[in-house]
Amino acid sequence: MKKRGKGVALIYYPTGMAGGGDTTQAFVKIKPDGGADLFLGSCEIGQGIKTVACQILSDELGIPYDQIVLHNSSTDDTGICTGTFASRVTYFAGNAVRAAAADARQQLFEYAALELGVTPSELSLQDNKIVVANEPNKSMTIAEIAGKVNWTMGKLILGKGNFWKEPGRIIDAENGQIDVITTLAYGATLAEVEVDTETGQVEVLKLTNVFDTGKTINPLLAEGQIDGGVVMGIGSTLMENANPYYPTDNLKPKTLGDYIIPTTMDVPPMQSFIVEYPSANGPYGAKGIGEMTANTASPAIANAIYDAIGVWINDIPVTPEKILKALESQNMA
Amino acid sequence: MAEKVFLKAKDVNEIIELKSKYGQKAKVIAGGTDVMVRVNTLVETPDCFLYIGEAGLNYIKEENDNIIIGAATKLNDIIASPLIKKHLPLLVEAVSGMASVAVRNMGTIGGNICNASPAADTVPALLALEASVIIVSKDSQRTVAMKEFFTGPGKTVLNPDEIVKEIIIPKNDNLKWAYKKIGRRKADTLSVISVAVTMNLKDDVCKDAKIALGAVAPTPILALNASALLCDKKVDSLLVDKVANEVEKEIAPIDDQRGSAWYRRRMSKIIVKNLIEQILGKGMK
Repeated sequence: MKKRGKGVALIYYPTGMAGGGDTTQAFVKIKPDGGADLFLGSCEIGQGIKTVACQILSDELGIPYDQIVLHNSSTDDTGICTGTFASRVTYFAGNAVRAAAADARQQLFEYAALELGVTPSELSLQDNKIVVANEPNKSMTIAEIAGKVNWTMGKLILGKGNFWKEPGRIIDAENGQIDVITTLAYGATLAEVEVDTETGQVEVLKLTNVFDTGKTINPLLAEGQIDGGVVMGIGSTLMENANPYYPTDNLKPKTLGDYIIPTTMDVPPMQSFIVEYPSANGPYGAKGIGEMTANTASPAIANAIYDAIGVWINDIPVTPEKILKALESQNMA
Repeated sequence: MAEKVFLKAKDVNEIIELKSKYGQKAKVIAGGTDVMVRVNTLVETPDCFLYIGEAGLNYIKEENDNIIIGAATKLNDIIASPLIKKHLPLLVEAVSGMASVAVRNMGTIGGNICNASPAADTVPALLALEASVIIVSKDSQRTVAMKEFFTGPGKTVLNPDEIVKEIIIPKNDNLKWAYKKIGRRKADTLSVISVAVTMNLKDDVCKDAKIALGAVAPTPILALNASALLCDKKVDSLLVDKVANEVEKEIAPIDDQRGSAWYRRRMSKIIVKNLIEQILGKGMK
């Protein structure tokens, strides 16, 4: 018999190292043609930090995205990044790039102020130009001032920035509070499943996901992150084996071909929504959603299985055998 | 380092000529979807490959009461063939659940058979359809029923100088059928168990039936005793239970990476029962 059920899972997830103390650094060089070199050591693992970092720099400096060259291939010639983990890279690297951009922008303004005969505080960026407040006709393009800085003034603009969370392991003696995390992101998944009580097979019919990005820097990448994370969750819930192995320990996977993860054919219809509940210190309010998206599918599917057949399967992967054996012990009880 | 020899045969005559010369040394390869996995992981280290993928063995034709499929016919060509769709829908169903589009574009029906995996997904369907293979060598040609072809995991009745040239499947458009494969996911997955059932019904009576199973014994098998129970019977649920119990006696499953013997035993009964019920639908009391 095929039985259907629904289950919900809620999550909140910290961004960055619990306890703090981690850093990410960036520096940016303004090139004579008005483009920029961005040096960032954060590791791209498909989450899109290369794109996001250049987007942020472009926005902060008024330099078109395609005139930014990202140097990201070696830790020797880029800033230190504690690493791509803890859902921390958009948050930490984003802040570091923003800070480096602000430093470079300030230097640009100082040199432009000399050229334009004003004070740096009168300058702002508009449409890729440095303009003087209240005198809209008085302006310089980034390329004009960058060329002058490099060739006429003989100077170098190098902006540097970093983001670091102060270690927060000290408990406040007064009230017992502790500031261990950078920010929290929230999420939820609703799973709809069909369980075949004869074969023990679980079919995920639909997954509806909501995740809080704080502020989405790149919508397509964020949606991809959610979809990818949730599909990883399907894999760990229904297929992927770490010790003890299925069906017995001596039959562990020997190649990646033996290690079963979902194919596109196993992905159910999914609807994903983004909520933006900004963080206090993230770039534009952004938070990390990398890891938590892989965590909601398991409890949501396990809850849906319980809703369908009335037994709890509390260890993943939920194999057909576990379903059948759980149903058997339920019948005996 | 020893050199590997790659022989590309241009037609069947050349294949059997080379096979008679090289025998066991020449590893026959067509799509390579099974062979190359074994070669790349050093499970097999043949010195010589005999490539038969472009030797005129890619065809599907109708001859008298039979459909004939060339051994090097790609799996996706079988799914796409109007002839197979019309006369052998069970085979379309079985092949559609195999591997992935990319693998089916390369893999061949002859390769799937000759690889002799206990979990070969074309085979339960072919067994239930009473298929035979035409085996040729330089000096002889013989027809072997699919159920006689396998002798063990990876082992067949083929002599070192022989190859499978084509597969012959009798047409029977009145044949009722049902098929089910359980894998660990929906694509690119080897069978935990696969079952094909065919039935010849006249009015309410089952004149003949074939129950074939994959991945539950050292070779894909026809459950002959269970199938026989259905012959010339009006099928009711009591009989179906009896048949399912008989099937369980005829299989010899093992634990492997995809599932336990316990699960396979249990599934063999349940799936056989479900497939027979599926075929009979409302006709069963």
